[in-house]
Amino acid sequence: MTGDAFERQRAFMLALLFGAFAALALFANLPAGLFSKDLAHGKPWRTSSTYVTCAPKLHSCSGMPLDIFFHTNEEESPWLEIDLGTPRSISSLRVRNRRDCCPGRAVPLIAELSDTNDAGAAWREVARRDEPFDVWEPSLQPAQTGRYVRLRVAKKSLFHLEGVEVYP
Amino acid sequence: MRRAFGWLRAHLPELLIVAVGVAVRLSLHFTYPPMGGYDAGLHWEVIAWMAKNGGLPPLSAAYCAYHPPLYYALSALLVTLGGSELAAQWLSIVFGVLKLGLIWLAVEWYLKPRAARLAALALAAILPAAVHMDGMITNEPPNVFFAVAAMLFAPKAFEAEGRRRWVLTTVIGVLLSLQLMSKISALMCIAAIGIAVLADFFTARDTPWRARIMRALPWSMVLVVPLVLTGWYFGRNVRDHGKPFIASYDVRPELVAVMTNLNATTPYLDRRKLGFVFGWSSDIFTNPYQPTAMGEHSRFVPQVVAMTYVDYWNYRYAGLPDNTPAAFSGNYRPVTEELMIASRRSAVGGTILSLAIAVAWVFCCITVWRRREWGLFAMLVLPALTLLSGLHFAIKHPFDHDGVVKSSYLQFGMNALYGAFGVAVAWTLARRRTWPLFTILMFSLWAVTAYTIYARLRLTLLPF
Repeated sequence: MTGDAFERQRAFMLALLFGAFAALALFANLPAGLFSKDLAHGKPWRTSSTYVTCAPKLHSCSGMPLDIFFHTNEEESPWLEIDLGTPRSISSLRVRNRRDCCPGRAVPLIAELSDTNDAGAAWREVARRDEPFDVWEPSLQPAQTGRYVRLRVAKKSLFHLEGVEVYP
Repeated sequence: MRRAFGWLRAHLPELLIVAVGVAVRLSLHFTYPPMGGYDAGLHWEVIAWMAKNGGLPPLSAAYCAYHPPLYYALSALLVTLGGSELAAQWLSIVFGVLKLGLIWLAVEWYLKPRAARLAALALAAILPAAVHMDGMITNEPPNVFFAVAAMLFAPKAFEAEGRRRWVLTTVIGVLLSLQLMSKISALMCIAAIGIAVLADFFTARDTPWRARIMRALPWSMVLVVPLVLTGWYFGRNVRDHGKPFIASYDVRPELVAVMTNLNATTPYLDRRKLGFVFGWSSDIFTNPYQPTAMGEHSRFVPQVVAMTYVDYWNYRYAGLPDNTPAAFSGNYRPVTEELMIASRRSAVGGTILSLAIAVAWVFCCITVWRRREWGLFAMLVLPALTLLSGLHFAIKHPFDHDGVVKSSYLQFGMNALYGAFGVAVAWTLARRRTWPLFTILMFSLWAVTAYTIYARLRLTLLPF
C-alpha cells in the first residue's frame, strides 16, 4: 500500500470513529421518546410514596435483581402518576406487572386521566382491572384526552410495576 | 498577531481539549462543595489556624498540621484578605488548570506524533481522579503542579551541558523545594531523578570517570537547593518531633496506639495477603464504589483503577447532594442510576486504558534506556516508585476503610503515564492491523470522558 493510500484510509477510519462518537452524543441527547410511539417514554413520573428507589435500566432495586421501576410504601390507595407534558389523546395503555412475585398487590388497579395534578384535580376513571395480571392492555374507546395518567390501587397495598406504556 | 493566529489555528484540537479540561475544573467551583473533599474540614482547620494566628501551627492545633505549610499559608493569606473556603478551593482549581498547561507543554516537548500528543492531553484533561482533586481543599494540587513542573525540566537538564545544566538543575531544585513545602511526596521525584542520574553515571562506560562525575555533579542541586530552602522546616520537625518527615499515622494518638500494637504483633509481610498485591476483582465493573474489592479479599490494583477512573469513595465528584434519592449508594452516599451506568463504563474503559498504559510504559522504559534518554527515564521511573510507595503504605497500614489507598494521592507521580497512553495510541494508529486496538482505546477514552462530562457538566456523551 502506498503512503498516500494509507493516509487516506487512516483519515477515513478516524472520520468514521469520530463520526460514531458524535452520533452517540447526538443520540444520547435526542428528546426522550422521539423514536417511540409510547407517549410515556422518558416522561417524568412520581409516586404516592417511595419505599426504595429502583434502577430499571440496570434491572436493580434496592440492590436486588428486580425489573420494577418504582416501589411504594404499604399505604391506602398507592399511585403512580405520569406527566405527558401536554394534554394528549390516548387510545390504549399497556401495564406490565411485577413478574417475580405478588401480582395481587397491583389490583384492583384503576387507570385515571386528568389535565391537572393539583390537590383538587378531577381524575376521570378510564379503565379498571380487578383480576391479577402479568400484562394489562386496556383499550380506551373512544380515545380519551389528558395530560396526567394515574394508576391507582384501590386498597391498602404496596405498589410496584415493571412498566407503563401509553399509546395515542 | 498573524503568527499567533496561525499557531492557534494549527493547535485547534489541543485548544479544544484544554478548554474542556478547564471547563470541568471551573465547574468544580459551582457544583463541588469546597468542604466536600477528602478530609476537607481537617485541611481547613490548618488554614483557619494560620489565618487567625499567623506562623506555623503546632501538631496539636490541627490534624493536618503535619503537612508542610505552603498550600495552607497561601490559602490563609487569601482568607486574611477576605476569602472563605471558596478561596482555598479556587487556589486548588488554579493549580489544576496551570498543571494542565504544563502537561500540554510537556507533550509538545517530548511526544513527536500528533496523535500521541492529543491522546495524552485528552486523558490529562478529563481523568476523574485528577479533575476531582483539583476542586478539593487539600495540598495535593500544588504538590502535583510542582511535581509536573520539576519533572518537565528533567530531560532538558540531562541534555544540557556545562553552565546550562547547572541552571536547569537549580531550577528543578527550586521547584522540588516548593513541592516539598507542599507535601513530602517530592521525595519520590528526587528519588526518580536520583535513579536516572545513577543510571547515566554507571552506564556511560565509554566516558572517563572524571567526565562522568562532572556530568553528575550539577544534579547535586536537586538535593542542595531543597536542603537550603526547606531545611529550616524539616529541621524544626526534627527538633520538635524527632524526625523530619511526619505522616498521618504518626500524629493521632489512637492511630499511634493501633500502629504500635500492629508493629508488635504483625510483621510487615503478614499484614496483607498475596492477593492484595497481585489479585484482581472484576466486581469494579458492576459496582466501582467503596467497599468493592475491599474487606477479606482486598485487592490493591482494582481499587487503584476504580479510584482513578471513578469516584470510588463517592466524595461528591458528581455534585449530588447527600439526600438525593438514588437506587445505589457508595460509601453511604447516593449514586443515581445514570451515574452508576456512567461509572461502570468508566471503570471498564479505565481498565482497558490502564492495560494499554502499562504495556506502553514498559516499551517506553526499554526505549529510553536504550537511547540513554535519562530525563525521560526519570519521568517514567516516577510512576513506578509512586505506585510502589502507595502499595507499601497500604501494606504497612492495612486498614482499608481509613482510605489508605487513594489514587488522588498518587497523581503527583503519574503524569508521565499520560505520555505512555499517547504512545500507545500513536502506535496503534500507525499500523493498519492495530486499528481495532486503536478503536478500542478511543472508545475506552470516550467512556471515561463521558463519565467526567456527565459528573461535572451533566452533559451526556453516551446514551443511558
